[in-house]
Amino acid sequence: MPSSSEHISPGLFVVRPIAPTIPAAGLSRLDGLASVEALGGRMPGWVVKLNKSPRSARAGWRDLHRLLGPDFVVLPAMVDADGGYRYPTGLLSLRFDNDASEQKLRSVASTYGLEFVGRAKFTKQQALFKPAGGSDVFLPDVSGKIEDDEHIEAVWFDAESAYTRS
Amino acid sequence: MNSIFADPAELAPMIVETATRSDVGMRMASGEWIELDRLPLSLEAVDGETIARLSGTAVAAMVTGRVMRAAQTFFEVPSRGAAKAPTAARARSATRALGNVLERKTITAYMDRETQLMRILYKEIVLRFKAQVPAKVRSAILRDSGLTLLSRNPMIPDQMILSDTALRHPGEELIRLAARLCALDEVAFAAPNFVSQFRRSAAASNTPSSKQWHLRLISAGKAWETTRGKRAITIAVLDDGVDVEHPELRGNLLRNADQDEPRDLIGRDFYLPEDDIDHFNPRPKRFRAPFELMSGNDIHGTCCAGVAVGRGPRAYGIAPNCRLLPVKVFHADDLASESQVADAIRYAAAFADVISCSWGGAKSPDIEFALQDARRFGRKGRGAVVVCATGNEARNRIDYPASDPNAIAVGASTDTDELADYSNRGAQVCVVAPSNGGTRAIFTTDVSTPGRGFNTGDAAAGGADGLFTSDFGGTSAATPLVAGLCGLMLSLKPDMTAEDVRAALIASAKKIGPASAYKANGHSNKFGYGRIDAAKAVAQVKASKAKPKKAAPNK
Repeated sequence: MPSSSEHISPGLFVVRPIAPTIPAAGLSRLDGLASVEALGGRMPGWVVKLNKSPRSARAGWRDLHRLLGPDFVVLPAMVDADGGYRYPTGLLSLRFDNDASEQKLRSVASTYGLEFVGRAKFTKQQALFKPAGGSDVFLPDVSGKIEDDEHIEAVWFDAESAYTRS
Repeated sequence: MNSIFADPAELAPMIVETATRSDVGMRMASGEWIELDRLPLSLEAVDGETIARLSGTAVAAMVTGRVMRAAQTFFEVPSRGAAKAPTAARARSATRALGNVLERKTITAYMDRETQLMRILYKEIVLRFKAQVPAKVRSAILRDSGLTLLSRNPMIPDQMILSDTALRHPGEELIRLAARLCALDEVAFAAPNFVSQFRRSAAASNTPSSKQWHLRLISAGKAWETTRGKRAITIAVLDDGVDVEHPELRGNLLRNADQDEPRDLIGRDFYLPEDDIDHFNPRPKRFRAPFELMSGNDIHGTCCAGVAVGRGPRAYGIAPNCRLLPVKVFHADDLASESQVADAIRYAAAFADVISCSWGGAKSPDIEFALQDARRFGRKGRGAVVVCATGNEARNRIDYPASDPNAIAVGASTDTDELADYSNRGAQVCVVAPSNGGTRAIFTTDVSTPGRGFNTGDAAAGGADGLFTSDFGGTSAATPLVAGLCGLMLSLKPDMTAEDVRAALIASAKKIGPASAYKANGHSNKFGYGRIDAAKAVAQVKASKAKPKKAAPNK
């Protein structure tokens, strides 16, 4: 299993529309409560920092989810051991001990309330899922349950991040 | 094709077309357009010698004695002595001796603009019929062409050589006839059977210019006496795009890497999803003023590719005969999806031998697993060699994925063999390689689109044509230099594992900087195990005994 030592940022969140057609105007509900900055990636999304630091990532997520409603998925940003930020896409990557059968993928989806999105392109050991519960799900809750599954080698948040051409 | 130096890599079927403009080109079976420039040439038999006359002295040097001997045979120019290449002095003496010309023949010749090699039009056409074409139809087509069937290909019964024995189609008319034949539904391809000049891959006459001091510093010329790389070895450059039209890169592209995917012709763009039409186009796509700045522009990958596998002659890579697999993962500075970067690494590991990554980012489980997969499954279980830049922040921590145990971490040294002051330091640094930071930077290929690239057309910045830059650098430049050297080593011993390659790099590295920088085990957090030495690395690998092949692990 990878030795990534990363943690969830308690005060920094990623907000993504549940569909590309959702207007960004909905983010105006955060005016005065948080700073909002567009993520410069291929997927639409914004980095949101609450003006008042939340007690925990879960508390911050709850506040933002209540403010933004079901049209936006709120995700906690991740920070790696060297301070590099990772911005979740809302998908979960699962890596299986061996090549995963279709039946295995269906079974995992059903067990953890997930929707199968697709296999990784060049390995049959990995696949992408998203929570079937949409924006009502706090993603770390789902990944926490999957981590205990002995048939799954690893689970992590699929993310966008910044790369420096050196 | 009549080959003077046989090089199977150059023998792909081609279709020749006359262009609407005055010049002529060839359409390769892959669809690539090869431009041919008309080369005024005549052969004269002068007092027992065959002399080539060319309109420009600049091209005279390309006509080797061997080419002339072959041309002499084909064109039946009488000669009692050995043919000689037309040196300037000889051409002048031939001019003085015009009265002694025994016979003169004008030859239709072209120079391949990309390779700068000569192709002489001869009176033959190679034609291949489609398999299901009935014999009666074949006979009718041959009859209508006015050509004579000279021979059938013993290996491919549908393919034959036709001769214009009666010389009814002189000069470019033969090209037009080939194009007309090629357009027939019954014909798979038809092309003039050029007498072609081939460059032997072991040719050692091309040495790096003084602009490419970095190649001289690591003794690339000496390494090239042993190998300049083999076509069977491919180096993938994962970056912000590679200019696949660049005249010193396009000839090295690995074509159709994934043969199960017909759209995969010249590499991929993993920044874009597979259902995007541009996913199979790894060219630079994002340009924003000011165009010479890396920020906002896809201009980095083209420079990296040139350092590894530039074909020369203006900007050689360290492995000019290895193949290039361009893999686009970034769109200038935009955030990139980790799963797509991981996909790109696995793709590269499936089709390339060496992966060059001149970038760093946040640690990612997906990329970590992809590097493990590259090591386990790449090169049929021997492991793809992944080479990564340590980064340019002058700090005591190297970038990710260079810090991954499955990567070879490369720092930067200078033209005076000092550590480049920006090069990150750490226990994972494996080797350093020359880059900027001293008095000179790296001369390499640049984006060929006019007005785009580090050099937008300044003679002092690498050339007024903007095809090259003299100002590349960072650990970004050092990394593909090491990747290319790994390609040279694998060209000699393709059975080496990724760990063997790493060990050879370490064992052959030259200790630079103060001796106190190195620990007892020979490692330095600044220099790794030292600065790469291409000649020593290649010699060491050449002298090593072949290892028994390792069985590929079960997936």
